[in-house]
Amino acid sequence: MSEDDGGYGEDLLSRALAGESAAFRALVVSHQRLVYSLALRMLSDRHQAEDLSQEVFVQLHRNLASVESLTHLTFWLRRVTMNRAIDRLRREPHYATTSIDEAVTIAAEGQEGDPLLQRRLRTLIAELPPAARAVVLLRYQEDLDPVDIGRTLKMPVNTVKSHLKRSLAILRERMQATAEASRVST
Amino acid sequence: MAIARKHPTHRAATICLGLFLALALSAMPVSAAPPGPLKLPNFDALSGKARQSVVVTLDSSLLSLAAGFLDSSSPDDAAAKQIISGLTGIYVRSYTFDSDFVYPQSDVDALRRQVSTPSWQHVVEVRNKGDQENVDIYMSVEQGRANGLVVIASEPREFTIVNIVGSIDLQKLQRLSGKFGIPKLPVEKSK
Amino acid sequence: MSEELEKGLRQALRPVDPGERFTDGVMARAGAQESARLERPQPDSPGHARPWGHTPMWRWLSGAAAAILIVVLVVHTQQVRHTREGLAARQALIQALQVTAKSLEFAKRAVNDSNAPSRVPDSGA
Repeated sequence: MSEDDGGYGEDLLSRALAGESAAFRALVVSHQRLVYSLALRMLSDRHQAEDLSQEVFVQLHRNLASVESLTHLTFWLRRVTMNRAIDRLRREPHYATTSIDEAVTIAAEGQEGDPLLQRRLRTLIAELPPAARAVVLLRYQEDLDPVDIGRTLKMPVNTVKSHLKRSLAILRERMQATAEASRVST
Repeated sequence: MAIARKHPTHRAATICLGLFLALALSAMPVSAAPPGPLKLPNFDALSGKARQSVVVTLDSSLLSLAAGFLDSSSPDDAAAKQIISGLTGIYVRSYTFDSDFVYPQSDVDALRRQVSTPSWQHVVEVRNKGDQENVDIYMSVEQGRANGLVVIASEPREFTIVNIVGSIDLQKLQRLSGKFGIPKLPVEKSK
Repeated sequence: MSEELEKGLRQALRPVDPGERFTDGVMARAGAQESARLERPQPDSPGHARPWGHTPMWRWLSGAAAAILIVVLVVHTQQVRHTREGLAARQALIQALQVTAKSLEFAKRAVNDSNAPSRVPDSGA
């Protein structure tokens, strides 16, 4: 839902608040990509991501009255998704995994760029600790600046910047190591 | 780099590891009884020191449960389903650290001693003194079929133990290469 | 290199769609939650008559409905727990196979490295 659709979106929100099921469904459809993608990149598992994403929208359904605007809705969804994902990662032993089926989905959508490189990047992102991973996703998937990332994750801005700097350094180093390993083995 | 290969009949040519294991399997003497899972040391203290750890303990009931949730329409899930049919346990301990030799070498050596019995054949041993990388693969065989596999791999900042129990299809295991996000290692052509 | 990496990250992290039945799943779960909420007894409102509450037949029916709902919710909870446990077991299995694949690749590389001929110039002899 783009900013140009603001009027339509706000109307949907009002109607959903009034109890109109079709309006709530339309809100889900327009925001499910955002929520699911964040969940998928945090949990690296399609089924878990779907389960968590659905929980987020069920929670939204319960708390719709607290959402003040479309902008607030997007902020709310990002925050709740990341909080739930980080909680789940802390609760269950869930260390670096690779999204197995995701690459098939991305290829089917005809993504630009080098798919192998992107898959490698997603693998490396999945190896980052949860908090750092969350920061990287909000920066490069959601295009948020550090201040907004800090507000979303309730994290000081300096901590956000520190996570970003360290994570990029780690990713750069590991990508270089991968490139060197490929050169040695070919 | 010091190398020792335990099956002296193989030529020093570049070969596919899976073919190597399969050939080694066919040449092995039959062992007396299928071994149970290894007694793995308690590595709980290491999890706190590790940058990354994978601890998996799947007995036969958990394997059955997991199999029920594998999606046959997904190629990777289907491969996983084929591999685990016939297995009675998969046990993995894998730790990655930010500094060298944080893990107790004595525990890794104790594991090697557990598989230094007649039930186990030491089919691959690689010692790379330069990079300090060590790999050992042990197999247990009954009536020409592998029923136990142990991989012990260690580097200065990482060590991994894999213990697979049950009827193992080596060809399917070798085909893991290229799945689950693990890049396939190109096989060098013999010169 | 930094710009390239950031560009690569943006491309790698382009949002993706969930499965086709995702929205249906959300609506079903939200609906189930709403039903469960409505089944909870409402606070007494002073001045409002509850004409049916005193009829034995209605009491019996509402009790039966509550019992059925409890059974459905218990079964549903067990199913949800079973699903969670199953998904967790699947996840653990995939992790184990990933580590196994990595170890075998590591061993393969080590064996191949050991077989690599040493770089001695060919004397032609």
